[in-house]
Parts: sequence; C-alpha cells; structure tokens
Amino acid sequence: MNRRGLFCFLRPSLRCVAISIMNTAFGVGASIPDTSEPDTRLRQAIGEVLAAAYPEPSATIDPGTTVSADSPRARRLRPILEKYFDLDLLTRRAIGPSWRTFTVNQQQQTVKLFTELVFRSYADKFGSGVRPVIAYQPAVILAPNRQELPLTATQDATVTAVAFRFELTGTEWRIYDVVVEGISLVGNYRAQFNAILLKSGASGVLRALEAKIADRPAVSAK
Amino acid sequence: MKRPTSSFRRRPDIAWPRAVFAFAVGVAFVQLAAGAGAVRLPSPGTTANQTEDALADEFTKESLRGSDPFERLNRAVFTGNEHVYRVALRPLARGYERGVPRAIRKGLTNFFDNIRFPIRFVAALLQAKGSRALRESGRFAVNTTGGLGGLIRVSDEIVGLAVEPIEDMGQTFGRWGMPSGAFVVLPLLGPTSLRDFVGTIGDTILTPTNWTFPSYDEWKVRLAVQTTDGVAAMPGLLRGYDALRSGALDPYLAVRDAYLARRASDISR
Repeated sequence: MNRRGLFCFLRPSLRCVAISIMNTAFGVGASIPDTSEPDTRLRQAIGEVLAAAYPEPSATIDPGTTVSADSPRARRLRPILEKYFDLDLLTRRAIGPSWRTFTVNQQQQTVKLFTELVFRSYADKFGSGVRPVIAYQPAVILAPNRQELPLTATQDATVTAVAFRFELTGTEWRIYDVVVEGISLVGNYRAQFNAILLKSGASGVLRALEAKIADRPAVSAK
Repeated sequence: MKRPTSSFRRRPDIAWPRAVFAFAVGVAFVQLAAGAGAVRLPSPGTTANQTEDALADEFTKESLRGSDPFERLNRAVFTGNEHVYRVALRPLARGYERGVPRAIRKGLTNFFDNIRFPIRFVAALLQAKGSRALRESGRFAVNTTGGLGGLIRVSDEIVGLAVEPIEDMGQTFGRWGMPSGAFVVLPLLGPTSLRDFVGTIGDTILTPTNWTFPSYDEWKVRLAVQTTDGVAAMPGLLRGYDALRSGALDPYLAVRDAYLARRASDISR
C-alpha cells in the first residue's frame, strides 16, 4: 500500500492530528524566516545609536566641531555596532572573491583590522548637529536571505538617504553593508582592496590596513 | 571730444550661441568617447561561474564596469588638489564658519540653492518628470516670495514641497542613456566624468548668477557673487570629502568609486 493510500486509510480526525504532528516534526512554517525581523532590529539599532550619540536630544553641536573617536560617546557606540553588524561578513564582502586566497590566520587578522578601521573612521561622525529625525521606508527584498531597509535621516533641514543591508546568518538578521546616498561602504572598500590585491595580494591588504590604523587615534572598547 | 569708454564697462555678455554650440559638441564627444575609450577595470578573483560564488555579488559586477583611462593623470591632479585643499580651501572654509554667524551662512546657502531653480526645473522637464518640475516651481515661488528672496526655506514647512533629489543636466543625459564616459579629475573642481562635465556646461548656462541684467553686468559684481556662492558651499563639500577619505586606504579610489556610485544613484532616483 503506498503512502497516499495509507493516508487516505486514516479517519479524518486522525488525519488532522497526523498533519499537525508532521508540521511540527518537519518544522513547516517554523523555518521560514520572519521577514519583519530586520525592520525590528534596525529600529532597535537606530534607537540605541541615537540614545548613545545624542543623550540630550535638544542639545546642538555645531557641525564644524569634531567629536573625538575616543570620546565617551564614541566608546558607547562600539558595543551597539558589534551587536547589530555582522563584521565577519562585512569584511568578507569587502574583500570579495579573493577571500578564498587568504589563509585562516590572514582572514582572522583582516576581520580584526578592518572592523577597527571602520569603527575609528566613522565613530566620530556621530553626535554633531541636532538629533536627526528618522523616517523608515518599505524594505526591498534582495534575496530570500537578504533585505535592504532604506530610511531618510533629516538633520538641520538636510535629508540624507541611508539604506542598511541585512543578511540572515544562522537564525539572526545582521547588517553587512550601509549605503549612504548611493555609496556602499562594502563597495567602496571593495574598489580599494581590488587594487591592493592585484599588486600585492593578501599580505598587501594586511599591511595597508595596519598602516592606516596606525594613522588613526586609538579607540578603547570601554 | 567723445569720452573713451572703459574697457570694463561693456564686456560682452556670455556668448550664448557659442556656449550652446560647445555644449552640443560636448554631448556628441561624450557619446563617441564613452563608446570608444572605455577601459574595464581589472578585478581580482573573479570566477568563471559567478552565480555560484557567494562572494561574487553586485559589487563584483560594479567593479568591472568602471572607466578610468586617464588614471595616472587623474592621480597627479588629485594629489595637487589635496595640497590646495589643505593649504588654502580648508583654512578658508574654517575661517568662514568661525567668522560668519550660522544664521547668515544658512541664509546664503538657501539663497544660492534657490537661485539654481532653472537648472532643476529644466532638467526635470527634459527627463519628463512633470510633477517634480511643478514641485520645484512651487518651492521656488514660495521661497522667493515668502522667504525673503530665498534666504529662508519656507517650503520645508509645507507638506508636498518637501526636499527632493536635486536634478541637473548630467543626470538628464544619464537618464537619456548616455554612459558616464571616462572618469576625470579637474584641477580645483575635483572629480567628474565626461558626461557630467558636459552637463556642467549646461548647468552653467542655466545658472542665473552667470547671466547679465542691466544692474548686473559689471564683471566685478558677478565675480563677487560667484565667489560668495563658492565660499558658502565649501564647508559642506569639504566635510563630505573628508568623511569619505578619512577611512580610505586609497583616497583616489575611494573618491572615484563614491563619485560614480553617487551619480548612478542620483540618476536612478
């Protein structure tokens, strides 16, 4: 007797029970990622970043003033960025297909150096001017496991278009790229890494990252 | 005896026929150059079957699409510009921010932004964006009449006249399908592409501060106005430029990629 025959053999009430058991056992419906989760995570991330960068919402700092990358404000931002960004994936995408030519040690070192560079370069960009007003827009599905969430940030009547790209890694949606006014963080670094990789390979990338970090002021984790 | 006229009193108006002719020649040149002179930028690690490579994503395709046949010359001009920015323009921008009150700086930025309405209006019309052209007209009318000649951006308070992406002639050509052509770094002016450079000629023709009026035909007055416009825009431009190059491993490549990506995004909006 085939499976269909066996199934038809069961009484209707038992069929319902069988269907429920099968759904639970095979996780039908439960394994489909929640597509609203990136939106929730982004709102949480933005909320935490704004609270850390603008502890006094009404305060105004002249945009001409530079906020130090080692300031308490910048140090508060680091754990938030580590929580919501997939720094490993961000680095791999910035390097591109040549990632496979890196040794495991080189890969680990590159992730460490690149995330340090990104943090030191951009942490001091937060916190000047008035607190921006954020307007979220509908998500764009890039792939079954990738989404782009655009928003606009309005500060001093200047509107900036920003998009965060999320990827589902394991069971968690995390950010792997930020696009500001059409300029992708990953794409921009990919263009630079391509040139270095052509000339001097993985070791050239590590040397370039070390040299650049040495030029930037240190930022402590606490 | 007839009084000799000053050589400065009646300088010729902007030569409209010649400007338009140069514009048209430039458009044709860009079309030819974009087709003939494109050089594909090399990208390491590309695989034969990129659809199976999780890391061969949209960025891989973008890095193969660039055109920079003048890279060596561009890098030399880029380095020269960096020196000028450090020695002259940044101190000037800092002095302007410190010496001029914020309200006046904002007013000047708003004024010069408002006065560039003809560029945005014509570009929107040529791209068949009628509703955008209409909103630009509304914004211009409201800010000119109710905003003290454009000093105050009254339109920010009006729903329906919210700020939109800025249109220009370079974007218009991009919309029409013209490729960007070779990437070029101009002395002082910075990055552009062949297409956008020709577009800038069109923008210049449409900018009212370059026109002559009976009370605005003295070259000294025009120069003062155009200089004020440039100085007012400088702090914002330099801040954006510095933000981009601060974390760059290769500032030239960072600026090139950012420029091309930004323009592609502007054209699509």
